[in-house]
Amino acid sequence: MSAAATHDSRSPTGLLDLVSHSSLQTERLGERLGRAALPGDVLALWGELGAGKTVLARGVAAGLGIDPEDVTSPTFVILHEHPAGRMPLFHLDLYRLSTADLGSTGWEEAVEGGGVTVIEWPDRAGDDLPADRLDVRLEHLAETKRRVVLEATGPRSRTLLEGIRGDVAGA
Amino acid sequence: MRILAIETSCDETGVAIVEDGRRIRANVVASQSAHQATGGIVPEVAAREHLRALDPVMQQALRDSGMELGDVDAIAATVGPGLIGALLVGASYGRGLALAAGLPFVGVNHLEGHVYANWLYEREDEGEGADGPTEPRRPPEPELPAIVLVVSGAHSDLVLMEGHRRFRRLGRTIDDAAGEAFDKAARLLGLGFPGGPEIERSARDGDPTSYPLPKAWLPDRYDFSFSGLKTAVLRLVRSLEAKGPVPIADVAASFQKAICDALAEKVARAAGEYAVRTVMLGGGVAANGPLRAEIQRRTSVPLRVPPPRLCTDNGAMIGAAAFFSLRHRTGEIPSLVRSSMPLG
Repeated sequence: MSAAATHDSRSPTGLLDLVSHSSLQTERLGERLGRAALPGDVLALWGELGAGKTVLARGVAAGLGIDPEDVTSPTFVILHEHPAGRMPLFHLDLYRLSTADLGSTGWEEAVEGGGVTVIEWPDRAGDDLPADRLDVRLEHLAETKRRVVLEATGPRSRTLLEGIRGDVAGA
Repeated sequence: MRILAIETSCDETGVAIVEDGRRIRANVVASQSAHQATGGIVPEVAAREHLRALDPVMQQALRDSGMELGDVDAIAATVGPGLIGALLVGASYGRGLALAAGLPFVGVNHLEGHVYANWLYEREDEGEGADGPTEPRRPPEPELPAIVLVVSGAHSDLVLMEGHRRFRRLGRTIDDAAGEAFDKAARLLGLGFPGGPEIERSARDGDPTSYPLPKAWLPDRYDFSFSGLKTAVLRLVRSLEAKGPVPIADVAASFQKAICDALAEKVARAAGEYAVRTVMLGGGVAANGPLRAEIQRRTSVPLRVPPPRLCTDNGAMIGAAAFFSLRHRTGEIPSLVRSSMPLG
């Protein structure tokens, strides 16, 4: 993982702009986030098909002490709960939802459930997304290379971002 | 023993009546059309639709079988895995029905249902020997041990079935399910939903050797990985788009071949390693013709595949699984509704 040359990753803003050269690096970034996360933290993973969202979620699980092998795509059932770590991971995938009617996916309960919530395809949630969340945008650069932009949208997510900043910038 | 069985784990409302775990007396499935407009699913709508459909679907099943609720010996319902709200509707309805009728309630693992779909049949042959009528002949039961591949929109599990209700999971997908990969590839190619039948149809006019795509399995283990394949299709489609119109049929055929090769390779290897007597398929993707052909080509063990209607979600398979879980009380009979519930 390296900071992109065009951005200063040490700037005190709630932004971190990185380049991941492999899915392993993306998973490691997730692991750091998982280790630094506090109960109630929400991560929204943005990016098209194959951008590495589930890979990053798997890393978050590892960072929480959950077996990353247990993390698979929740697309079909929308919500996977992983209770076995130092705190629960709620892994949501809104891919199959239509924007108009989020309905009772159980996702609001997950966010309030005192664990870490990771949301894939958060665009489907529109204005219903928690105001204070860490937005993680994954973007294809090349075959295995991804740009990863992390952005805090409030004090809670800023704390999470600061928790990994030194770690990542030094890596 | 007659079991009335309910299936509501996703967007199919199914009620069936099954005799002795094998003979289908009625099997009514109502598909939810409300989702087709969006190509996606709305959990709250799914649950509401199940609630609306369950009663008429059950009445239809009773009419089809010529039975009344009093003729039934037990009530069964899927309790997982699936959409939690949808599962709750069917399981609560089943429990209520059992309570009111004074019948036992059996919770069924949906994946076990896909396995036991291989035991179902519709009618007994009128056996006519030379010396007059003989005993009705039932299709033979699958011989065990068996390797079972359950592949659907939500699952890709490779399971060793050592005996009734004795399952050992050998492998599974570490990321996307096979059916999910079909759905997502179909979306990338601008084909419809569900992706499996659309890809299969389009691939008929295509050359499966047009584009080399990555293998969708992990070496030295029985697990699958379809996420890399999905990304490769995305990259391929993008690069083809830059050159002109995308040869959709060729991409679909190449993609389908990559998935079928991966699944068939692992099935054949497991069938050999465990020296099983049968290979069985289950789940919606089992309806894919090239997948069945590829497995058949690679293994000499008899292959059993339920007819397409019984590959996709239905109540009859739940009735079959419920019967065998009452008869072979090995292992746990699940009772609480849960969104994830492994097999073996």
